[in-house]
Amino acid sequence: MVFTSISYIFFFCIVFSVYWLLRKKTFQNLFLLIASYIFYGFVHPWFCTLIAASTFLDYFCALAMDRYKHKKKVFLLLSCVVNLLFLGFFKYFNFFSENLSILFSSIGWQIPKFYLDVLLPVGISFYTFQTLSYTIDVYKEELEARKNFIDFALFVSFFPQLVAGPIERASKLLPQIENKRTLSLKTAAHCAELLLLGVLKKIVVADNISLWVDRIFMLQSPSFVLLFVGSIGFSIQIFADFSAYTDIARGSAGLLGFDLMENFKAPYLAISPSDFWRRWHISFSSWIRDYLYIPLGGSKREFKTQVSTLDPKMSKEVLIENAEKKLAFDCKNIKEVFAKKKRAFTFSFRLFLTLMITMLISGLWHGASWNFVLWGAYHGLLLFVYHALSLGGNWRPKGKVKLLIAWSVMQFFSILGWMLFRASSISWLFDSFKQSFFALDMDIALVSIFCLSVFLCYTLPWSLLFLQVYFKPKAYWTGFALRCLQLAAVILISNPDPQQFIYFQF
Amino acid sequence: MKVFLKSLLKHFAVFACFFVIMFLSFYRTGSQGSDIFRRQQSIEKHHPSVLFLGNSLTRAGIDEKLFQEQTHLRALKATSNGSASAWWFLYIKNVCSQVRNKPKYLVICFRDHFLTYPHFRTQGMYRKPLRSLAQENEQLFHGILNNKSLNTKSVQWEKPLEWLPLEVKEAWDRRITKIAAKVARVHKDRQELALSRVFDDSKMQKNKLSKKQMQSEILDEEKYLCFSEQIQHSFLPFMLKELKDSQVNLLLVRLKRRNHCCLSYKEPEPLQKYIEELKHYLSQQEVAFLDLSRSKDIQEEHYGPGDHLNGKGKEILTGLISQFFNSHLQL
Repeated sequence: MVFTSISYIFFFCIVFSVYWLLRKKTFQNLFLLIASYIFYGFVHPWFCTLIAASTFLDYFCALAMDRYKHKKKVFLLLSCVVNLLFLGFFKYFNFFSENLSILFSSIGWQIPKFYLDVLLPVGISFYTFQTLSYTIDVYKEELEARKNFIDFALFVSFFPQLVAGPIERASKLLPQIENKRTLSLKTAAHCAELLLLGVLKKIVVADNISLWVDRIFMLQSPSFVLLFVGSIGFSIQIFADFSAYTDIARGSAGLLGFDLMENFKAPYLAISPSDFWRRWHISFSSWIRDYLYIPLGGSKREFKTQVSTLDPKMSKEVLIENAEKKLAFDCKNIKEVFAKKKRAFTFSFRLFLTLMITMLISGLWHGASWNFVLWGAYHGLLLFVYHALSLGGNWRPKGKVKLLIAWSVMQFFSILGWMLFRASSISWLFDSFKQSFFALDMDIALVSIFCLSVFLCYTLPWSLLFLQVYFKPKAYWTGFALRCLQLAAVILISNPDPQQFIYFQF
Repeated sequence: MKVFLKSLLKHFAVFACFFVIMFLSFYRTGSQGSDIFRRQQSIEKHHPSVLFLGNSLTRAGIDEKLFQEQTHLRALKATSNGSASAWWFLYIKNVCSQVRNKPKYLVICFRDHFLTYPHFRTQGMYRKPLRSLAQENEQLFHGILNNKSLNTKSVQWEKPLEWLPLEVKEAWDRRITKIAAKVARVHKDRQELALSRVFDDSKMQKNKLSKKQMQSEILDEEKYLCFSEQIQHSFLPFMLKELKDSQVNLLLVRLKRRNHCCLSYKEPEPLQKYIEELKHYLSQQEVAFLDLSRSKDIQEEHYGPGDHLNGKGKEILTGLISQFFNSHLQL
């Protein structure tokens, strides 16, 4: 059930009405659980079996961890392995089977290719991570295992955020489920604004831009200029599409008395890769940071300490020469200097490895295709390079010109990354670069200008909102006038041919 | 008192704006389709004996000049990409039946069971060509589409063709095209030419085009294959009536689809039954029917993207229809 369809409007109206008529929280939770399963099973009923299995498993594993503390590692492993097996089997089976077959055939071994012809359960990546965060938090004793099965099942399957996030932490969502909810007029108005904004971003911005982005990426061998223009369009499209889903999810959840986390904080204002990942798909990137990156040894504090004790530009001769002048990094002899350099090198290598593993897995999470993996690796490399140049972390250049340059460079890299993400395949991308990288004639120039005009014009109703947020006009009617404009845009210039949300495929 | 009046004015302004937007959203302007006159003029000018009606498959699959050479009959193609029975019905009713120099034969090329599903290609981007052929008030057209006895799973709302928001969107798109042309300092025709050249079908990835087409043509539920139910709610009987009243003969050609070329392909039984019932119905209505779905002359190598034929396939299909005309139909 797509959020922008009439079916969802009817569904939500019924859920909203019945939900608030039920006074008791227990009945409300039960009703929401049933509604969530109806929502999820609307696409295909068998999806419910999988999510139910995952729910039962994690519920009992968490209780077992609570009860048998000396064996909690076993139950954690059980939860992780089974959940990841489900995810791996349904999402990555064909990908791994195909690539294994190619790998073995390259060394002369012919192995049969097994192909799984089954519908991929929508949102499996999202709810798998959500339940894993629960079991891991229970293992770390940061969270108590829940005994109320209905509440826990609702946490796993809560329909506004089930299919495409945000990936909520148990410590944030479970207390809301377990406590009484209320709805004020102010909250309802704010939720209505979110819903309107979400619908605007999806059916006016994303769906209209997608028509031209799809055409560019369907070409056999587009030139780099056209691809770059298409990538600009795609970067707008994916942000509009994904943030629209989050807005509608938050608006819907808000109308039911729940507060879901923000998933985006102006990601295209980022000035560095670290900054970008603090603003983009926040629920996912924070999950990866907390459950993958930090456990693998990634830590900003340690790296900063190491780097600050060294001057990487100094050569061996200069070090010897300056040894008597008491260097800034406080070393007594050359052996110590090189020992520190060796440690720094080891640490840098470990940081590189940690970042690459984390980002490769992030890329793979998005889809079973090499271009997603390459996109993850690309961002991993960017993060490492920025860290190595001490431009990572909370770095912020002083001065408006430097800030502008930093922003421009980051946006350029970001758009190149989206090119990798959206590409049909890696081979298609390389073939295009090989055949027509420098191709630029009048036709391509005109098409590029046309596409950029389309992107700009359809982003206009959305970008007006930024002006309101930025300038914060005091007159009350400006906000209202803006909402009217947005409503008019939704009714009058939306794409009559609705497209599916991009992140549904993940 | 002042505060009260201010508050009242504020609320009045809110409701007034809301009302205006809602009114504009649902207000129907209703006007004659912009394409009707042009298409009528085309028939009057060319005075064809045979008119080929269809979508891009017809555009790609029929060679008018070759047909003329082989049959000595003047031919004209009237196609709209992505069109289906809804568009064909409007064309027959508002164009073909209204001209003075009506063709002797109308040839409609269709695939499998798509002829009798009225809602096929009537939503989203396919509404614009429908509007361009619609009169001010298409009661019968809307009546057929809004008949909900063959309802789909999810709630659908058939918006009337003459719906203002669609016109506003088109105007907005035209404005964007003008802006782009102004920025590039070229005429908009030059820009259109650049777009058609860069995004020509021959420059697209063939497997992507086929996939996209197949996704947009999924009508595999059993209800679409029940001829006796479908015929009652489809445009076909009305198309036949219009043509009979205009004394235009009809030839329906069932095209061979790409997947039919596969050696292992076996036509599903429901589809076989559907085609048999369609044949029986057409013979009762005295309508000629040519089923090319099993033709051995058209093979996999004759196809371009999706079910579209390439140059060689075009020659073969045209030849087959010409042959049928020469041997079976009297003009």
